[in-house]
Amino acid sequence: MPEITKLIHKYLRHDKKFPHVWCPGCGIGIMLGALIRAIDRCGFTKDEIVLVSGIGCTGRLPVYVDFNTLHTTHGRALAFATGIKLANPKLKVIVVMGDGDAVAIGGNHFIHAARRNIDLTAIILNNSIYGMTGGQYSPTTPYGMKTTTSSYIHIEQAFNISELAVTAGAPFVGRGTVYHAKLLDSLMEKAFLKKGFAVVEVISHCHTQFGKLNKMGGAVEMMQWQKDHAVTVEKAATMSEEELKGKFKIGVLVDKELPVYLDEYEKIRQMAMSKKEK
Amino acid sequence: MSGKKEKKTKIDIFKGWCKACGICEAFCPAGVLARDEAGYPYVKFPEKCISCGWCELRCPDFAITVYKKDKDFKEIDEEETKNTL
Amino acid sequence: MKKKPKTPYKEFLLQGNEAIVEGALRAGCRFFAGYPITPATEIAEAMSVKLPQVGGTYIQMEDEIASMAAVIGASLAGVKSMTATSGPGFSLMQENLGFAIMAEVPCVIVDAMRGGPSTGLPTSPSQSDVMQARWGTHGDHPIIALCPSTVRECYDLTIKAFNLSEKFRNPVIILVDEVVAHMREKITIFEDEEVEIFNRIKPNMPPEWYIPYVDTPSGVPPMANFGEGYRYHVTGLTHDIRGFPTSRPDEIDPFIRRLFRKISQHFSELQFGEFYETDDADITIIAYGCVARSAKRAAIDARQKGLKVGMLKLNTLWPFMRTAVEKVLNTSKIVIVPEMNMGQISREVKRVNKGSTKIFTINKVDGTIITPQEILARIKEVG
Repeated sequence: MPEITKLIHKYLRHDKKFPHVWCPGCGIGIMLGALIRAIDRCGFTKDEIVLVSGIGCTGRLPVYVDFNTLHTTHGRALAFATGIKLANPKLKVIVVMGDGDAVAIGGNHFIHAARRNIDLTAIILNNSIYGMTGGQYSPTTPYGMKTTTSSYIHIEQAFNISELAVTAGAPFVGRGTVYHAKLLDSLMEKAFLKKGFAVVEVISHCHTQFGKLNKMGGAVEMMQWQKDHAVTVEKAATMSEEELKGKFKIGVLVDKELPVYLDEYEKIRQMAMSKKEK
Repeated sequence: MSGKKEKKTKIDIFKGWCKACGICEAFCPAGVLARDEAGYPYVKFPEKCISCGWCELRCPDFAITVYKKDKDFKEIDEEETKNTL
Repeated sequence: MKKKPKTPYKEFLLQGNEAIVEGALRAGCRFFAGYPITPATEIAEAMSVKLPQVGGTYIQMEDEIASMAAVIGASLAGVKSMTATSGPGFSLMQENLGFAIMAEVPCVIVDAMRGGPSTGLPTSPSQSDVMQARWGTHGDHPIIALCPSTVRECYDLTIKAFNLSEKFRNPVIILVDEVVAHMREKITIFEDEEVEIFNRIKPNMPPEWYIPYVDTPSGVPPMANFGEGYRYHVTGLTHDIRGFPTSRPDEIDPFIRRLFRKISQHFSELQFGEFYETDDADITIIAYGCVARSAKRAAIDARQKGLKVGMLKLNTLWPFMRTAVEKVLNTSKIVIVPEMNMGQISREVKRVNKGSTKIFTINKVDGTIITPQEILARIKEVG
């Protein structure tokens, strides 16, 4: 068994039924591969990783991997993860969510986790649709698109998850696509090693629902679309506004240092304990 | 691409997990793979393989493995990311 | 069980909410996640001051949903955790409360009851969340709910709540009405007072043999914390004994029944209350929370007037104190159930009333407490 597959198999739960549950060609499997490779490269032990997910197609991810895994209620993964991290800061907490899970029902928790700068990694698989429930529009479904709940025309404007994270105060935000698998590896590695709230938005596709309804072809065609519309941050800097129209940037969008929640809370503990002695 | 021939790269497709999604075949930079009538990939031109490993990286089901790489995987990472975007 | 004070004891003038915090810390609570809401905010404030003093963590989350989620997360990471809220917040917590029941995660939730429904009467008391505590979250599930009627009971019942939640791996709710939550009373805490502190049963087998949701004689599986080498899966989906999602009927049925058995099998350990002069009582008042204080006063006054009146105080609301209630139903011809709601516990009393005892209620829903005089008037009226 060669390197990568041995690596992947080392982290899988072998009493789970493989192949996994996601549709043929779904990007979640690619994201999972990148996640496992990045964890391995960072050298975390399995015991210290807590992988938290919400509800939806991504929700089913943790069950397949041999970490401490938690499958929470829809949209609340980040709030559960906050509790885990604060209770045991030694744990490496990673949260995987879908676009609806993270910024629709979970939007409030997403912006506050970013604002608080809790030391954990949020991986958001953005396929612009609610896949598990059969193809309803989500906060990242582009204007004009067809979904099972916007069969006439989708009249809402989409969020830009990465910009939302940056505005909310996340110190590390990266965006990749499932086509650019190696970029995902490096983004996730940087996110895991980042001290503070690190967001990785993974542009993916749902050819079963979104692709079919909008005649965008299968997994291959939708990944081709990702290739054609993604522009690295470095290249985008050289492009004009006009050229950038309809494109999205990939790579590290922001990486700055901000005070981390628990380091700040330690100050409170010191003050509280010294005050108590008096 | 001269020295590639001796370093035979073996590609193994685990049909138990493969869901015939076609991603590996579609994005293989060297056109090594092809799909049978059921849509499952198979190695059509093994000699063309440049052992870049992209098929394995992009397989959603971990069903394809590239046995021998001429370069250590980590090295590929930085350099490849830049020029294949 | 209080021993004569050999060693010095401390006296405190504490608010109910403050006593809950003292009890929680004494029980080993080291994590609080909450959101400000009258009449429970003092708990959050006291926790924000006292938890960091003992190396604990206080965090104010963005809403009650997140608060409940963070509490569950912290408990899964091995720290005794708690939140406190009132009606509106309690409503928001219901889904995650259900998750804690399904995944059997120990935690304590304080619901300081105020007038409802909706925004209701934020600064006035009520006892109208009793049924919400029982059936607030969806699906068949067991629950334990305790109800203090004095500041001392706020302290004691909070300790019990943590012990029970750890012992049965089930959330425990403390239903305290605004009166008891906000009133101040002197309480005496003895230095050498033995207080039984219960911690969750840890697995005594190596990780490879650990079956996270195995059925045991007590119905309570041992609980490993995240990060201790027992990498297992926790989910809100119905799950098999290994914790993985299942839709097999032959796995779901025994699982749900085990959840119920955990509590019903230990029913006797969950009966907290007080019989006051009920042995020869013709009329017994069944009351809880602040109303139990008025009820006791009424019973004492009635006795002085020669009326054989007794009082049964319920400190446990769920599971319903069926045996204690049946006892008074057998001795008294008349039972009066005064409540600051439309009769949420009186329904239960009527349900277990097999005999010919007549049950009368006082249902006060105007945001003011039920007074001893009102109970005495009712006694005269029905006696």
